[in-house]
Amino acid sequence: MGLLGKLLNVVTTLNAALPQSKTNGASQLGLVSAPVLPNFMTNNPLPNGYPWGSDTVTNTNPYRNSPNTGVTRYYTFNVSRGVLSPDGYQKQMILVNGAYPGPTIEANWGDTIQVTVQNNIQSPAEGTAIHWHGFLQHNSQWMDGVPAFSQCPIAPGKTFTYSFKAELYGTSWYHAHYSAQYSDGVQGAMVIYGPKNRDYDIDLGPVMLSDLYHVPYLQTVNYTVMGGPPRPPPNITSDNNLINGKMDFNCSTVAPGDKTPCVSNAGMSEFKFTTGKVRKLMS
Amino acid sequence: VINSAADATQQFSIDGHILTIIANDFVPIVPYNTTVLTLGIGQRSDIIVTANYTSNSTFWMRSNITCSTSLNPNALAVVMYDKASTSAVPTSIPQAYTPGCNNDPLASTVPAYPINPGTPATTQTINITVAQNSTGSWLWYMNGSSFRSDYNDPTLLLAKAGNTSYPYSPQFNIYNTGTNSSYRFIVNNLTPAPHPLHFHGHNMFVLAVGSGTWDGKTIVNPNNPQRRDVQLVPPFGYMVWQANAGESSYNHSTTTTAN
Repeated sequence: MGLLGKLLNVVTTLNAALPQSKTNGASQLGLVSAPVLPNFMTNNPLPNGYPWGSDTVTNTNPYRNSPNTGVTRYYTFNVSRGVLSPDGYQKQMILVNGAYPGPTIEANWGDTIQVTVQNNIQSPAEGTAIHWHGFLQHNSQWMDGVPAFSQCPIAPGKTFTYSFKAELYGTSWYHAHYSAQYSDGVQGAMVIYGPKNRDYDIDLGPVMLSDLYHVPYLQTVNYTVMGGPPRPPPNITSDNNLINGKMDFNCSTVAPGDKTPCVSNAGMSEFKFTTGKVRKLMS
Repeated sequence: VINSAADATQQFSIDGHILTIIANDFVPIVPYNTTVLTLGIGQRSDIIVTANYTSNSTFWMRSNITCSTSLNPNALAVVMYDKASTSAVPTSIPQAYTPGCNNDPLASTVPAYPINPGTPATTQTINITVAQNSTGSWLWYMNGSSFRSDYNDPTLLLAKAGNTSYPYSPQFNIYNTGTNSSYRFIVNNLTPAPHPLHFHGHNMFVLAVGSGTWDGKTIVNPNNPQRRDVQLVPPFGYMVWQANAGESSYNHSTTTTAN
């Protein structure tokens, strides 16, 4: 899809037809009121003015000598089914704490992150496991969150507590690693504050880019493996593309007979820039 | 910016603004500028943007799905300067770019903390293919073996118990690097789909990426090659990566079909 495709996007209004609670639940991402992020967390010791002391981008090999702050960041994830309309088309989702995207995990370089995951996926029940993408998991390989490799799935109704160190810093994400569950919503950003290699004024936070499938993920998996109409496998077609879980959709384009509730122009993500300031996106 | 998609490579841009890339995945890099950033699934880039327009300006932020099919491949978000009308629909012009499924050139992405990977102690080759099995399911294969797992028998637990025969072997797809201190993998993608290859628990040294097959010698920035935890392997192309031992881990392609 090239320039022509891009120019075919015709947007006539920025007025969101659905409230954030209907498109993204408890998530505040994509709103101009979403909180900007700090340079680092300060409710902790600050030796030499920084949580990680005198370590810098260029003086420390993080694979061998990451700092140890002694601080643990605690999170609780309630993973459960929910109904949201990220692009206006109502979708059966699986959510972390009722938010899509899920809550952003924040920590300083050298902190330990501890996440208690409660699997409340019911009707129907299924397992889950959460992968913390990009973490080294030195001496904690079993905390990597891959069912059938590093652990058994967290059974429905059960709880598992992950604990691992932030040996690297920067931007990452977590997601369910159980089948393609994360494409139904179990995903969120992770921001590990660390030393900078370039100054900026404002950190606008994570910008998550994700395709969206209106059908439940098991249907997507089925199409992928068996080939979905009308294409030969292995090929699936997404219904939309989202920025921080939001994008407009034209409900007049749904398949004939599709009675799923759908609201056009549900609302797009918005980001605030301040003239003359340098902003970091992404984290 | 995080590509958290299930199937899509994303090409991200902001109309009228240069993107300064300061980190790829968990690796700070020597900053470089671009107008369009390509991210495979699982990849992240930290981006700095200078807000150098008047305070009533509005622009589109875009992310376009390339190399996958989508009924609506072009995501939009609104960038509004501090005094812009909140209802003003941007009329900005998209950045010119070439749709593609490759990451930015390795020559552009130099880690800020340099590490020389040296010569690997051992090298293995993995060929990625896709084919229909006897029941008609389309599966991805590494060296002719699709991956099969058992939720009741996690591989790490079996290894800890000393059971390295593994049920369903060879479909656990275990590559034994022995006691070698470092190892290199030559990955050949023999399919028409770009493949985001993710190595858990490591940043790979990404030595070479390209179409066709590797010449067996070319390494980009050999004294300090790009490191990251996901790299796009081009369609009908190759990717050569290397890592140091010392962490027990494993890799896989992040496409929905190839977990």
